[in-house]
Amino acid sequence: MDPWRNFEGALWRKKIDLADFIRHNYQPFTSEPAFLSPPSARTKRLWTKCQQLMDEERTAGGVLAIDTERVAEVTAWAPGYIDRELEVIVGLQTDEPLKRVVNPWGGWRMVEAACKARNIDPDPAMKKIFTTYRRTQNEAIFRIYTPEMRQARHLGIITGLPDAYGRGRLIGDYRRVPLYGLDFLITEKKNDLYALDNVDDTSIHLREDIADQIEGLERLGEMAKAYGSDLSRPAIDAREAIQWLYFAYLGAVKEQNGAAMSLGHTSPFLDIYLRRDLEAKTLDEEGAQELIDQLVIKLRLVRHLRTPEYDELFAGDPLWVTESVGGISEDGRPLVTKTDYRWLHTLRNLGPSPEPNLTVLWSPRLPQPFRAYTINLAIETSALQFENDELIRPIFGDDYGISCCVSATRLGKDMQYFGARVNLAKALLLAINGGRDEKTGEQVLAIPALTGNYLDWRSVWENYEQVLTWLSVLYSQTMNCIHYMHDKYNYERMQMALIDSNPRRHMAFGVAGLSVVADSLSAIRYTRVKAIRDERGITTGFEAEGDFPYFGNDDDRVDGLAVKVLRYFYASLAEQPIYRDAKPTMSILTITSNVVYGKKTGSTPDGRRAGHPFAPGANPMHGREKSGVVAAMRSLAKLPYEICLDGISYTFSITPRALGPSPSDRVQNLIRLIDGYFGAHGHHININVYSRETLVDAMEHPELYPNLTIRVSGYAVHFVKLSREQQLEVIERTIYERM
Amino acid sequence: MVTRGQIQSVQSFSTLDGPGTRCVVFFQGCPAGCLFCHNPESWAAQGGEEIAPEALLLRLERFRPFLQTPPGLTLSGGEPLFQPEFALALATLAQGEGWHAALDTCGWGPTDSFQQLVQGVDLVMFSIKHPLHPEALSKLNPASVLANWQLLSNFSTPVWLRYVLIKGWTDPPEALTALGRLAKEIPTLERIEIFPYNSLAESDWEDLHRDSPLFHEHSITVTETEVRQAETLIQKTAGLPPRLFPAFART
Repeated sequence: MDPWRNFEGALWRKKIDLADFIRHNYQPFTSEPAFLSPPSARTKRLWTKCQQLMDEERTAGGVLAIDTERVAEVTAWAPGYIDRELEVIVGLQTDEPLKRVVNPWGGWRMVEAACKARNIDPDPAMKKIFTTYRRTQNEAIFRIYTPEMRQARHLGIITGLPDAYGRGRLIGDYRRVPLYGLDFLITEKKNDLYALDNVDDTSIHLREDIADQIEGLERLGEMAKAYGSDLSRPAIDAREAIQWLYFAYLGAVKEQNGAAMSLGHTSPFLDIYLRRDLEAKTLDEEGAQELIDQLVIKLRLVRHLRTPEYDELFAGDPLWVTESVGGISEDGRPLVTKTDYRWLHTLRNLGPSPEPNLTVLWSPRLPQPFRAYTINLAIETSALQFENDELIRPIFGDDYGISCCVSATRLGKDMQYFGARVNLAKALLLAINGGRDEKTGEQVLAIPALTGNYLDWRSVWENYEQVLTWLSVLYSQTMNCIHYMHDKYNYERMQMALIDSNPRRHMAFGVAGLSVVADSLSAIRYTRVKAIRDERGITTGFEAEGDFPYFGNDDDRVDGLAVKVLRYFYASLAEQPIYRDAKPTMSILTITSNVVYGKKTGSTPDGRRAGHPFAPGANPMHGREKSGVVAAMRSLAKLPYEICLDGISYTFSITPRALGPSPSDRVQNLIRLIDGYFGAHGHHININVYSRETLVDAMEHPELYPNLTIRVSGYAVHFVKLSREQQLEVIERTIYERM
Repeated sequence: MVTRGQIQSVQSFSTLDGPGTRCVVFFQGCPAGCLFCHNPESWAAQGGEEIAPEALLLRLERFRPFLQTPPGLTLSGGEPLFQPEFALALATLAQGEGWHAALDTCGWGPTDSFQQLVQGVDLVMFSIKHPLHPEALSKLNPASVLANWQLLSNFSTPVWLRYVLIKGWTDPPEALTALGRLAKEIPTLERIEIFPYNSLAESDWEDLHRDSPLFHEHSITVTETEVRQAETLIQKTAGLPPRLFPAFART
């Protein structure tokens, strides 16, 4: 049977071009989704089994089992099943569901720490190999770190770095496997490999990359063969297309424990296959939904083995299996298909869940039923995030996915070097303390000490410029070390094999603590702030002697300071030489790490006490948004996306009552709020609709709320999986009640 | 003509202060001193931010794209009646730009100003503190409030009556019956909103070193069911149409 029967278009047949294939073959769906089907009997039974397993996992303290005998590799495990009779989509990371992979490529210390936390001994032979014969990413990076890099790292000035775990962030274009089959893809890669000359490091480096990718594709074929699938040829029907696509993703998560393992934007692609089968009557709607439900079940079961320190940063065992729906095609048609609805419908068929991390690419031009459907679902589940398609598309085109939390990336065309973030608030304290760390008193860099009783705006800002310049040099050099070694010792051949051979590379820098810094600078600039110094001469307390504007109230005086800091720091980063000519981007994003960063930061001039959490992402500080949500959104929307292409994360929480009197009012009001925010050039928004009382109750009685999902800074988590500290921080956040 | 006013703050989005989605301008200054006030910072006649209506409207216009059409503006406080020229100028200006203007008032103020303002807005939200003994909960002049309430029947402006239910203070049957009688007097009455008392404002009072006897009372909050019972009592005894009590006002 011709796998490409009934497909239109010519370009995509000759060379890899998914956008062209989709443009010629997809069919927008603009009506009400009355067609949706409940879960099949098989899916229900399968999901019940999985839920039991996940209960056992929770009872066991978060990890059910670890395979300590095998090293992460795509063909390391024999096929694994949950229940062969019930599974229409097959494939597990290991040979049993929820059994976690040991991944020593990133570093042996992390394997030991993660096993030790679960009272398990790692395999001695494996230990010998990875401590004696094989260098790991982590070891390689630390061998070349300078003392200055180590200091900035241990003081928490540069923090969350992917030097001890997989950097993630890469999205393989998993659609390529079903559309073309592995033989075609391997031939294309070989053509790329032989077309390159051998004259310098750059081209030989690239040639080695491509050779690795080819090997990865060959191994992927072996893995799928063990499950009885022949990936060498294209998929012939929808079940194969979804199975092939999942195998391609599975290959990646078998080998890589990257912080974010996103899926991309698959629904318009899969819809083409589902529609072809539905039209041929070889599949019915229940069958179509079953395929998507079962794919999503598999994605909900992906796990990685993490250390306790990692869990503290990224709470709730997240994977960031981010999958986008919606968006508008460059030819003006909505990219919404029936399968976008089938994806979203899994939240009802299987219940709310943090994973996959469903992201709606939002536009006023989306079909009205789709807008209302997604907003309804967001209110019902608090499991969706929204990104501004009208802002992203002009820069990234229409075939992009969201990597990790909020970062746009062209599918199969871009890669990202994830760079975690710097703590801007600690950097400000360095400026105030003459370059000394406010906690330890260590001298970090040499700048003039400030001696007056009151902080002088001009002197503080001049010092801050010096700190930010110094930091941008150190930060970019640190990133260069990390990614050189990551490429060398922990290369993601499975994902990179499904990206163009010489992709556009982004160096994804990030900042945390922006609202603390903006408010602190505002205090210094618009009122008198007294510096209270200890016996070491370190400023440990601040007294503001008057009122000053806070970020989040649509007040240009302070919002402008936030923008000023971003522009200065980005301009400085952009001047630095970057590994493999990557293009610098920047994010304002914290995940749940705003709690940890706050813990490591002394008191700040805005009145925030030492150790107190930062606001998440780009949010205004808790309780300082005195003028309500619209004013807060207007402040956020002033942050310039063009220099923050890695994303500006905003987490918005509201009680149902404050959103509107009736369910339909709530939907209409929320649509209007998001249109308003995105119309003002806001980039991203997490929507949480819940009451404070629900969260307090869930904290006290977690057993009653196993599925309570909330959105935090770019991803969703089960509330009950957060630490108590993080739960309290979420509860303390501004939840608009009185609006 | 420059009619500058004193405002305490601006709320950029509300669904609880009138129909649709709205901005709320809190006026500075209120002599009522209600024991359950949720905004005690606005009492002082002096302070706040001095601003011209034109400048204030420009600020509000920035919020318009986030609001439903027509965008709503609620004059609240504080007590708008104590800055009548400014309140009227702001309402008129906003209406000219397509805003729906509502007056949120305790009804205590000079009769002339009250009449002018009632005619100059699209909706009056009149908070009755207590239909019989407002002096027990506030410094309001009962006669002045009552006179202004009765004046409402001379105008075509729609009216919403608002009432806070506090156990042992505002919920005795004789009070609720009297409230129903007052409601009956106004032909343009569109809605009666009964709010359960809450102590959310307690920390705001503490910040100002103020205290309210209500904070020392126990069990003065009411349940949803008690709110519903009070509504039924008001509606039945006065023979009011049930449509005046929208279900969502109780949620």
